[in-house]
Amino acid sequence: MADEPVRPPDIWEGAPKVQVSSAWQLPPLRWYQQAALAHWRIAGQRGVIALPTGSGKTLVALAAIAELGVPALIVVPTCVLLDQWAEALSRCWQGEVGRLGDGEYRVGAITVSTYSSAVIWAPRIGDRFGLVIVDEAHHVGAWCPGEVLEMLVAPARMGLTATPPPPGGELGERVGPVIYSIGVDALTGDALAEYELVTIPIALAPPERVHYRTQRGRFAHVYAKHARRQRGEMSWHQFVRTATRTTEGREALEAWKDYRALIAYPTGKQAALRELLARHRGERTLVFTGDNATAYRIARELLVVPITHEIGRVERTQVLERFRTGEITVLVSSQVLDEGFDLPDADIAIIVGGSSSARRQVQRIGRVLRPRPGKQALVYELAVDDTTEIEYVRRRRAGLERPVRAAGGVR
Amino acid sequence: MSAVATEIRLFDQRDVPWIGSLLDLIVHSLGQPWRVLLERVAHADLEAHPSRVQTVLRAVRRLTGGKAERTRVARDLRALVLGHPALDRDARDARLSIAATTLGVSRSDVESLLWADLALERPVVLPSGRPPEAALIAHANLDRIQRAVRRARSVQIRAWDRANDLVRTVARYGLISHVSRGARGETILDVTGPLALFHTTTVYGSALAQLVPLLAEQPHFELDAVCEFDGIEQTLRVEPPLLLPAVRPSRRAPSIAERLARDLQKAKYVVEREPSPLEAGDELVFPDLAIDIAVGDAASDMAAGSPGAGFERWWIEIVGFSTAEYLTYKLDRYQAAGVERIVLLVDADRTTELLDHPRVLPFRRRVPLDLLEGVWR
Repeated sequence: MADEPVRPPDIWEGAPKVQVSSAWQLPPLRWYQQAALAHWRIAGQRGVIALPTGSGKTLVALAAIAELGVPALIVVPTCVLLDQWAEALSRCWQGEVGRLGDGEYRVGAITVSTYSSAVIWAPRIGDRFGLVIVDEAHHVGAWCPGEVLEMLVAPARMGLTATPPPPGGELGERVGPVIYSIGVDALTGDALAEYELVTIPIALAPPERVHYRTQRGRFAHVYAKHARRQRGEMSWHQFVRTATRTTEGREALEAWKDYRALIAYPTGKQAALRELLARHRGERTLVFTGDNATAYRIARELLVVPITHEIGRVERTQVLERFRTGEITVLVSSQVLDEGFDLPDADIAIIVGGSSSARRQVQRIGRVLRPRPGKQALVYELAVDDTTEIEYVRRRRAGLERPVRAAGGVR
Repeated sequence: MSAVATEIRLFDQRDVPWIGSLLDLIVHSLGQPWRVLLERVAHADLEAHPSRVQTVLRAVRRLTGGKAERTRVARDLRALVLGHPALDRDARDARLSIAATTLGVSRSDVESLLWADLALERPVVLPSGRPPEAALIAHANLDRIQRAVRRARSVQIRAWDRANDLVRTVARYGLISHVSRGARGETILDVTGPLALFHTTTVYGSALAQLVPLLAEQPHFELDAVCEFDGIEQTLRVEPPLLLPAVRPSRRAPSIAERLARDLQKAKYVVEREPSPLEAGDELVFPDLAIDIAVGDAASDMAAGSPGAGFERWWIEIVGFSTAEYLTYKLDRYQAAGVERIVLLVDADRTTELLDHPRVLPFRRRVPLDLLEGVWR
């Protein structure tokens, strides 16, 4: 990258180029990073690059900023990512990095902003940048409102994600289509560590099974009635809205919550988790749950550290540092660790529960794929037999390209 | 927004029976996580709308208070106790016992304090015992009014007798307002609501909510707020008799006006703090400071250490949240009051647009004295 001539593109004439185009010290790009950048160039410096977690998306964006040499705005979802981008920039660029968010409001030639600060600042500074980088770009149109990108005049745009949404939508309109995409499996053994995904079937204890059947039946009966009324065309949102208007509907929703809470962490999962943690004692392990209540329950039972949105920034930083040094080896979380977090290297992921989102599954697996010589990551997925969770697991696997090993050893 | 406005109902004696039942549930859940209490509340047959129940639960949280201290204790404790997984009961018990011995507390205290800062995980506690229903009603009213004004387009407070405290608080928080005299002898404060602004609505709303506790000390007042919840316009009318918690005197940092007054006095100026309001037609203006500047012979007398006659009175008002339009309005009001020597000091962080005017000076955090002296020199 350093050997290539740095020149501003024709599409951005008016910007103070010298501020950004000088004094970069970037590491060499890997083959897929070079390919991604080339595709972006060919696509007219617009579009989304989809690379797996841990494969170096940030470096591609930094190379693009260095290459264009124009003022750039990087928008990120969280304050944690804001810190990480600012740190990454200051490691390879000598200028002062602007920051918008987390109590700091300073605009620079290269500025990192949280989505929420960008909402406030875009009307005022939207004309100052020639390039905009959208990190975790799959959030455009939801967490990152499309209006923010509409208020930016930057002609060059790059979206970064590990899990691109379907074509079209606001992301396509505001940033561009996916112009380069590579999956986890294409990079394992190269830029990412090898891994194995093991699904562990969990049996409910007899009283749990009875309880599950009762509550599931109670819910399914009411749901089917509503679906028949709507002739099958009913979204979950519509169901909830109509169900909350009747006693029967409210009871059905309570039953749904109840059986979901049961399969989130039944006795079988509790035993399996203990056994897995014993088996991998001393190895850095991430435990993913479907909700915060389960994360806290595990933390309470096993005295391990939970990472949730309620754990403050200072404590989180301390915990991650302890995890990095090996002082603690297990972290449990429902969503916070899924994405947007520069986690230290971990070897084992145990998925105790989650939604049916294939996107989230890819993000979670990506957490243990940071390469290291000889590393073989292990991802365990606990799935309760003969329950709705099996369907969730099936849908989650749709986002992966490799076969999954079913293990019956842990019960 | 819906054309049909609904009225927000506050809490009164009619709510006592179901609040009593809710308190029973709370007492029954003491020591257990809030999550458990909320599940019990969800299944209880309380004769109240869920939003009213939630308001009273927030009032309970207010009463049990002390989040900052809880956060520190819980964070330190988690750092001490949480670590490698305790895979059997003995390992778990041993770790909790060590922490309890280290801190000189019981093991159950360690378990409950571990999560004391997390909204749903912390244990339910009532440190001062079961509160009377009236106390919960008072705190619930405070919560409901504060939530309403945070979502208000406009707020009007009409106060008799002790209006000065309210007006000064409005000024201290830098709220956009104008003050006038009403036909019934009342002072009318028209305060712009946060939803009428484009920026800083949350900060502004919180500042506006700080006015509400002061109403407890007003013997005779009326508050009208036009609010918006989920796109539906709602109106709130508050007037005594009304249960509100008694105002606790708070230790607060000196205001910008107080600090400026101190700086001016150090520089040997004669300063009057919070001078009487000035009549500007039907309205009132409330300058923060009045300064008597020596002119002519008096200036040389002052320099010689003997103050004499010949002073010019300058008025200073500190303006917080503002727009150029609001600043123009302020200057007009002072002109209508016959005041020429006015300086508006504008918080540059809280204004959307500064007015280019010789009597409008921007500042950040603290007012630079030399800038101010430049005006009257």
